[in-house]
Amino acid sequence: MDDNIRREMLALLPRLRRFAYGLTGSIDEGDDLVQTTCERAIRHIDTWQPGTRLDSWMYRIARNTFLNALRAKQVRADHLQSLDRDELGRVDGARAMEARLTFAAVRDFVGRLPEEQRSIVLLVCVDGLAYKEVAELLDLPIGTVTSRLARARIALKEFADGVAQGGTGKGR
Amino acid sequence: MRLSDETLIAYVDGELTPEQVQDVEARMAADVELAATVEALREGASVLHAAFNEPLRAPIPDRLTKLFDANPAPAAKAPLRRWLSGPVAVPLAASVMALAVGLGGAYVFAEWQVERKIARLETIRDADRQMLAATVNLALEKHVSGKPATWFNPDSGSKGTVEPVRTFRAAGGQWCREYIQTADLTADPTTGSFQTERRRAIACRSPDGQWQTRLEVAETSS
Repeated sequence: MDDNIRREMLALLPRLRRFAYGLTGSIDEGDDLVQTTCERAIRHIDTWQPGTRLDSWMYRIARNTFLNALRAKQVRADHLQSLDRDELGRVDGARAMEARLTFAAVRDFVGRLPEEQRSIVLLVCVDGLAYKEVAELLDLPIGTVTSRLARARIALKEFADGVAQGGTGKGR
Repeated sequence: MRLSDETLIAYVDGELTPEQVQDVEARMAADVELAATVEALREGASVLHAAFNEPLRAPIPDRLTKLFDANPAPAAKAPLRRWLSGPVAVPLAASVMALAVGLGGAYVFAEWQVERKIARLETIRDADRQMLAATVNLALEKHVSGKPATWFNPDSGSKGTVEPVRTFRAAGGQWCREYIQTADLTADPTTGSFQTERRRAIACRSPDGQWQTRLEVAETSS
């Protein structure tokens, strides 16, 4: 592999780790995803077209890898579901104590978004890509990107309103 | 006609044309409720923007950088996905706590709490710095002069603005911008005391879209 490409990929690692953290909801799982993504990117570097964006290409690999793992997980996870639900209930209880939007609450919120909204939120709001770039990266019409993004952001606003009101416990 | 949610969000994201921006801002000036909605959307965006920054601060694990060695040693396989990490980790931490309290008594516990508070303060300062740096870059990269970008760290309560005021080209051809940065930094979250500062600075853009601050002057500080 070309030295320049190697350097460029290395420079992308922080952003890729942040994206993977957002997708999986955990830094460790995110790093597993980044590792698999990089291994695939290195192995299939000849399918990347020079002159196109390397970051978009690697984000695409990361997202596809994540989607595949998600599908496999859904098949396996039936017996874990009751456990998961208990866990979520506990997080809710803890959050009701705080009358503000914390990073942890926002991460939790992003983790509950449907994947099709989560990726877009991460690419636009966390990574700062333009709508047009996201539409190209995900191979979606720009109208789909903006409407999914709007759904997630309005839900976040309502969630924040709920946190603010539920937390004070007065005046309602 | 009422503005759609999509339009308001595109406004917050800096995706509208100058004419559309003017239209939204004129309506916001006339409609307090609309302005409050935009403010709430902006705050959500600012928290989202920094919520996943932890991997940016931490060093990159060796197992990832090793993948790019010129003569790679065979990499360890990515471990099986940690599906159970949450539910198992919590009871484990609780039992370690029980052990610590049982053994060391109150002194160890108090010590541990002080250390935890210091660690938390450092984390908060670090997060504030990160958000500030990200906002400087965002404002210089995307905002026209006179339009401030705001940031807010919900964990600390610190907040600030970054406003580009002037754009010019340096002798080497590099684009540079002068900006004013104001911040209310939480000095101690338990007492809620703030430290206010205002700085004027100049930053120049490198080809990768990162802005490096070259000069910074404190204008007021209290």
